[in-house]
Amino acid sequence: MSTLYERLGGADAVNAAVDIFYRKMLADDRVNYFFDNTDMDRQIAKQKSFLTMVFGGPNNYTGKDMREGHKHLIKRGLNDTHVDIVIEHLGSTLKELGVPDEDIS
Amino acid sequence: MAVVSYQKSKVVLQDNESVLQGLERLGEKIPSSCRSGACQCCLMRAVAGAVPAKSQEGLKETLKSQHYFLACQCVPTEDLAVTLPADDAVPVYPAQVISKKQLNEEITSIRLSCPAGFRCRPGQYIQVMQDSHIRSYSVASLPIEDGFLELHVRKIPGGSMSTWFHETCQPGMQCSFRGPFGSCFYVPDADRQFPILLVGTGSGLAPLEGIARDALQQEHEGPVVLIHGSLRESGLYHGNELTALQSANKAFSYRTSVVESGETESADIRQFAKSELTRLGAAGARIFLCGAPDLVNDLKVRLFLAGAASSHIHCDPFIINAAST
Ligand SMILES: Cc1cc2nc3c(=O)[nH]c(=O)nc-3n(C[C@H](O)[C@H](O)[C@H](O)COP(=O)(O)OP(=O)(O)OC[C@H]3O[C@@H](n4cnc5c(N)ncnc54)[C@H](O)[C@@H]3O)c2cc1C
Ligand code: HEM
Ligand code: FES
Repeated sequence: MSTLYERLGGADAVNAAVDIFYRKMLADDRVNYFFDNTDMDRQIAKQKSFLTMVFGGPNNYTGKDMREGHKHLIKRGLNDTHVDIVIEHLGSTLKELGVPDEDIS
Repeated sequence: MAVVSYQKSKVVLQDNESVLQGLERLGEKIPSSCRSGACQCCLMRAVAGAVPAKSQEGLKETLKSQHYFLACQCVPTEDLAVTLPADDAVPVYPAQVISKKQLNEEITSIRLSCPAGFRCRPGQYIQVMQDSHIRSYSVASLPIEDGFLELHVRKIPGGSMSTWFHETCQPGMQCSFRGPFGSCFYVPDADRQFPILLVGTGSGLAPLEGIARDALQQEHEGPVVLIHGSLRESGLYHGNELTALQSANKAFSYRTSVVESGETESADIRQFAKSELTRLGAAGARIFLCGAPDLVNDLKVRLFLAGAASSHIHCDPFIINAAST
């Protein structure tokens, strides 16, 4: 079976997905304050390699461990509600790109 | 803790200390300017040990593969032996100052002879070397067509290089530089229809003017809109040249944004840039943002949120820092 990465359409699709997703995050006042001191280009690059890995594409993901990467955010009140918002935006991003529901879950 | 060797010295880096900070603590004079990864003046080469990817961000592939890195961005996890750049990989060019002309109260234009063998794209920057200082300046001219390199230098009170340009530098004098650096320049596609939006304040106009002229020279067919902003009317410059360029090219529009003017449409450069982007069609546009770092960073996020693709936003924030060398 092909990977979700291939079905999505490879690198171009991941690039488009990350832009749409990150735009939704930055436009959402419930979560955007977490990104105030985050460099946009660097974060987008990390998200690309992270999502490529999640979708089963070729990647060289070298990001920090997830817990490590969010430690300073947890101190600032990051919790499960925020994670739900991330999942909501990721879900609607994939829908916009025409990914079938069974792939999204 | 990582140990950094340089010439005959060795330093054990402290927690989160960069190679630049560590060597400066030893009393070594390493060229630097912005201390934030933007100017590439602190370029060094690792002859032993691997440098973190973050310290190579923005470098040309040829330099990356030769283990060049930015000392101010390099917090190594392993021991390194480092040197300053070698002449064969990063050649230093001699140039002569051809002319000097005050553009407005703050900004002077410097034309340098274009040395044989030197190639760069308008919008890229060169690093001028004077005494022990190295500073980055963007190329505003088309080196081949114009036959010279033009820089627009803003006077920074107490700044070493900008003061040298404004007060000491005279036509006929020699100076040296290395480069080119940076990726803020026009790249044509299969089709040349995409809109281009260029926004900057002050001497940020230098690369933008170069990029716009380069695009028109390469017969770009889509609209090219350049917005130059300033607090006051007197802070603008090259208005005549850009108006003439507009008259000669249907594709090109020159717009100004002056805070003092109070113009409802254009006085706020952030709003103005966003509405121009929307008018041009955000999705396919290529965007160039240069000059004051706060404005560049603000516009980058704002125009991205307005629909521009992140990979099509090119920025050169002119980061100036409390300099030590
Ligand atoms: C990629 C890039 C391209 C650049 N292109 C250009 C260009 O085309 N034209 C141009 O004029 N400059 C450009 N710069 C800035 C330039 O490289 C120098 O940093 C600048 O000219 C100051 O150098 P200096 O030696 O005169 O000052 P330095 O000796 O480095 O001293 C700077 C001093 O200014 C203070 N300072 C910091 N910010 C400001 C501020 N906003 N206003 C006043 N003082 C401040 C600092 O605290 C410090 O004391 C560019 C920078 C980068 C990173
Ligand atoms: C759904 C689960 C999540 C995943 C898979 C995820 C993924 C990632 C990854 C891969 C990084 C890069 C880590 C690194 O290498 O530095 C990162 C950083 C970051 N994440 Fe998340 N994330 C999630 C949830 C969240 C939430 C809920 C928020 C806040 C609303 C958030 C905000 C951030 C921020 C601000 C950074 C950058 C930190 C910095 O600037 O150093 N993330 N995330
Ligand atoms: S990039 Fe290191 S000092 Fe500017």
